[in-house]
Amino acid sequence: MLRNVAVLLVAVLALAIAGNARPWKRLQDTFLELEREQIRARLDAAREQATLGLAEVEAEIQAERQRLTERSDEILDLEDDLRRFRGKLQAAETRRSLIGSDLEQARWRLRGEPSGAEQAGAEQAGAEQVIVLEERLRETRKEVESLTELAADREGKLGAARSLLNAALERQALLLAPIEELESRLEELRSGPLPAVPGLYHPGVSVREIRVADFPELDGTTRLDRCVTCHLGADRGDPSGEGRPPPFRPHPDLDLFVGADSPHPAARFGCTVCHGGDGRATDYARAGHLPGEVPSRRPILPLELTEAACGSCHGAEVWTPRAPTHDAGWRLISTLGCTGCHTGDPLESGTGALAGPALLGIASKTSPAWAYRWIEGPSELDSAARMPHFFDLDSDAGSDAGAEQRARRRTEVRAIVHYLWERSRSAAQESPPEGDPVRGKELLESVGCLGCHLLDPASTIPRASERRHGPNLARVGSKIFPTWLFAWLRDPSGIRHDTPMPSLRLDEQEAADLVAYLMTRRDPAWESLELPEVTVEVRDALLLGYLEESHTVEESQARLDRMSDRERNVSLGEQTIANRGCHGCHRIAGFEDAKVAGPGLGEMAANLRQRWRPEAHDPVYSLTEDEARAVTVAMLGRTFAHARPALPRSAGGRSRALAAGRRVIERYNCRGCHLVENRGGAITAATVEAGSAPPDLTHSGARLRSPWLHDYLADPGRSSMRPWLTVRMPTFAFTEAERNALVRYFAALNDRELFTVPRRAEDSSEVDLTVGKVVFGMLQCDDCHDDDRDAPLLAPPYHRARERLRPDWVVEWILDPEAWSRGTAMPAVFRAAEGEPLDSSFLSGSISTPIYSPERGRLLRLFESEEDLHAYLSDPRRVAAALRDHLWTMDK
Amino acid sequence: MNAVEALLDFVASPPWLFSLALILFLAGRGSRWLWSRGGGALLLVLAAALLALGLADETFRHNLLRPERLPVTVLLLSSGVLMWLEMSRTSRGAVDEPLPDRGFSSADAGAATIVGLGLVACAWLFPAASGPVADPASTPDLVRVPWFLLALQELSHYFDPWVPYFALPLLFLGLLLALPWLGHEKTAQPGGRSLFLFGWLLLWLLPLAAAAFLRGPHWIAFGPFEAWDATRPPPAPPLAFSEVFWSGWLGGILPERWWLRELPGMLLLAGYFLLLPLALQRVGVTRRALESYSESLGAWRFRAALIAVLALLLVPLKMYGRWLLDIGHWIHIPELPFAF
Repeated sequence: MLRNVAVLLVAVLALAIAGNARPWKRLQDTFLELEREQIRARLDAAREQATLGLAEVEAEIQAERQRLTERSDEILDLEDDLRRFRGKLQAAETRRSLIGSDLEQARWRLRGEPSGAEQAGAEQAGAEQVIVLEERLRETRKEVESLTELAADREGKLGAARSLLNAALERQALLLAPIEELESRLEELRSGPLPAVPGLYHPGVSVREIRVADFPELDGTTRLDRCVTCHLGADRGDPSGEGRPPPFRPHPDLDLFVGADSPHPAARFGCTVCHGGDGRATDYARAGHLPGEVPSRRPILPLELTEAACGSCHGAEVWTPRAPTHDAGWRLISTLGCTGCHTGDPLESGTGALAGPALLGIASKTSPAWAYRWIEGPSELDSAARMPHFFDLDSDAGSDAGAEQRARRRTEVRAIVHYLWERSRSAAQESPPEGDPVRGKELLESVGCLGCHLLDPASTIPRASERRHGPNLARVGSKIFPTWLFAWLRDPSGIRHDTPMPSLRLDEQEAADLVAYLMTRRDPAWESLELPEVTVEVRDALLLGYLEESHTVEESQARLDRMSDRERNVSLGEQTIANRGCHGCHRIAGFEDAKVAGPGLGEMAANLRQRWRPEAHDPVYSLTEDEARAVTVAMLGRTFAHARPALPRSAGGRSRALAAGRRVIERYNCRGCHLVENRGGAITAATVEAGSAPPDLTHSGARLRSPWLHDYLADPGRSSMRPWLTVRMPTFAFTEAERNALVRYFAALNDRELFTVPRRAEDSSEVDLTVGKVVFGMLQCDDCHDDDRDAPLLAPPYHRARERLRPDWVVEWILDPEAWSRGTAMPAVFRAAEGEPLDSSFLSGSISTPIYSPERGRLLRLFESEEDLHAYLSDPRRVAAALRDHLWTMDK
Repeated sequence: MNAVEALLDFVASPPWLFSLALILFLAGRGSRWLWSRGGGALLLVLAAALLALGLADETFRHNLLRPERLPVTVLLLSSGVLMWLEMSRTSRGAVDEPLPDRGFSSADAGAATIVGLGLVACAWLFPAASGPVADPASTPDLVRVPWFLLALQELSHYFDPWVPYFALPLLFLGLLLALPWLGHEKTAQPGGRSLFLFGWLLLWLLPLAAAAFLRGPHWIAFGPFEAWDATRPPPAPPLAFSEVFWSGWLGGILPERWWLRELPGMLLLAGYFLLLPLALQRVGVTRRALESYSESLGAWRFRAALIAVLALLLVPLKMYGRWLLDIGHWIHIPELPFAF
């Protein structure tokens, strides 16, 4: 019997110890020890810091105590009295409480006594009892009040006697407070009310979890993330700077993730929503840390791909803040034309246009030899080509390789060229006039072309960059016919109606000069391209294969026999285009309504394994490591947590406006020239002189009136706001929806209403208008803003201000232009230097000088006193508003 | 009739009810006539008269006939009847006759059977008592536990909840587990039956009945003929023994350190459990009784039994402390927290 009990006891103990020997418990122990070490270090530092102060205070306390000792008899008497009074007070308050309760009961009974003659006696007794209790209560209250007064008196006297001592004690307490706090924290970490049993029980060690529920961006499930059981301290920085060992390292970018004040606090988001893994596991392997080695339901996302999780919620916003890899992936998916074949992108990556140029009129654009070489191997002509390789892929090898494969490839590509040239519509194109390549070069480098195009054949700028929005022009002279180029430069949307290339409103000579220059950009290798002949046998065999897919063998042969050579070439070309899906990226005659039926992007994303390179059968894009990672991240982001068709449910109108606007900006590459949301403006580095860069659009919504902006986007050429700029705002072929999207975007970006009630000149008082006019003259605003003068305009003309600008913004701009546009030429007249307060008192001084006496006289007639005038002029905001009001009277 | 009702209401207040029950219990233990036919008839008539008087009163009737009270009523009546029958049978011999060696006395078996049958009948005859749809904005003032736990709820009025809801059940469980080692002597201990009946009648059935019928809103004691008035103010909260000791008796202020403050209460309890047995073993009457117990039970079982009996007797002592001195807790340490 005893043996059985002993066995049972040993077994239970063994189980208990084994149950406690969990890795997370050891980790927590380690973390607690680290915390203790840190606190000890801080405690030592705090003690050292407080030493001097404490010594002084303690000396003071000793002196005070000594002084009090000399009055000890008096103090002791006071303390005795106080103790006595407090004791009596406590007893009296207890008695008062009890008597009060009895009185309530008695009153209640009296109220509830039934009436009637036979109850009169009971009622009388009850009433008497109430009276007695009330009297006792009154006496007890008096006693309490008197004792309170006496105790307060003794307290006051004691306090007065001890006031200096108490003050010193308070100072001592203040000095000791941080030390005591650290000591109590150390004590907390040491143990709780029960002592810790090492290896078996420690009150601070427990499973910790974050309950993520009611998360509108997810599918409504509740998650339990126990990652913080091991990853302790992730939500805290490391002030010691020594670095904590894993897994205790602070989470990077605590201002963005995990931190309590960040947009993604851990308490709300948990961990697995970004990192994946099985949140409920407290075991290293089961949590998903070893996706390849240990089967896990949900492996953790590799660190390099963590940005994919941003796409779960932010993917549809187009630009994901602080997720550059995800954004680059999104851009690559869009620019490389993935959505041309892979439809059904849940995040609608496409900007709405086909990735490649239209091939409807290719015969007038380039030579068949160039087209052949390009189709055969785009990256051999341009290492950064967006067009992928369709030929010479492993999947094409079949059972034979080598010569047969090359023959097949040549034949197919040749057939494609045949087809394209056969179906190409050739429009009559005039030859350009004589152009000056030197002027052309100057024009190219100044007018804005380099915002989208490169001129360097060996440029290493990434494919997803704004500078590669358009094709590299380094060798364009060897590719494109000058007649086509001339027509294209004059009117791009006339040749391709959905082209993102805008019109730069070039006149004939400018276009001719540009053509002349671009024609000098040649590459001998491109000019020695040959167009091989078709291998007839291979061609016929290929075509027969296609025909046999939909006809019988006999019929296929019969059809083939009936075709002429030319027809066979064209037919094979058509079949090859259909097979390869060229029309997924290009508009091709005969394929206008055809769609490439590739697997949907969302479906592919759902099946994507976490690999560095997406698995591709057709075609090969020759992505770099970084590009492949970016695309993988963007793809994973589509389905990391849950596939989502649109913006998060919590997204409001602002988010949608921003997303729609950003798509348009991406499509037309506004960031090639402008800074938008603090990114872009690549053209500035390429060509533009300092001070003449295209404006930063970040505050356009705050600055510009929506109707004006809409009309401007429709026709920028009609109003020149900044004639000193050589860079031109092009005329884009925006659709009405795109224009509206941009206007809404800018308003939403700056949290402004789309439309506001226009301010009329009549809304201003005579005082404001007059002051505005006078100050306008004093500040000589005409010198820069008046376009009626002979001198060149140095700033936007003020007579357009009312139609163009938001009235409230004008005031803010006048007060502090540097805050809106760093490096602006507009002087900050009301702020002497950065960081200084606004100050317009100099106007008050200036108005009193003789030179302004007529103006002063005019103003004094409107003010009650000179003091009022000076007070007005010394208020910068009022002055700025007056200037704005004056501007509003000056429109034409 | 009103005078009778008023008297009964007065007597039904907890201190008077318990004291009267204790007197009757002690008297009944020593009386043989009460267990004779004459005594039985008198008890029956008294009970019938009280019941008739009660049923004539609307308040009493309303209280008694609530469906959730019926099991309690059945339990009380059946316990009363069967207890009298058993006492009547055993009173023909010595008062503390050894319990029949059946392992389960006929009174217990009979009571259990009748209660069970009674419950079945109640379940068949009356629909389940269901209140209105729960309203989260309105909590009923008096939340009673199921009838079989009412005694514990009444005891929680005198003890901190951990005692009746945790310590006592644990004690019961411990005693049940220890059953094979208890009572394997052939004869019952003298006084054993009395002790059992004291605990069963006065410390279980009586609190159960009080909680079932005599507690109204705010757990205030109402007489059986008093209408439950929710506006009746509750009594003042009880005091801690430390307050009474330091403030009331010594007239001083309560010490700040909890161990000093509660020292009188801790000493009192320690004295009760440690010194009182020693004192009893030296006083003539109790010395002989305790010696004989010690010899028959053996040292450890005797000590365990002694502690159990002292704990049992502590219940009415605490209740009297509440009624007479308004002491709610003998030890009250909110710093830990702990209270007894």
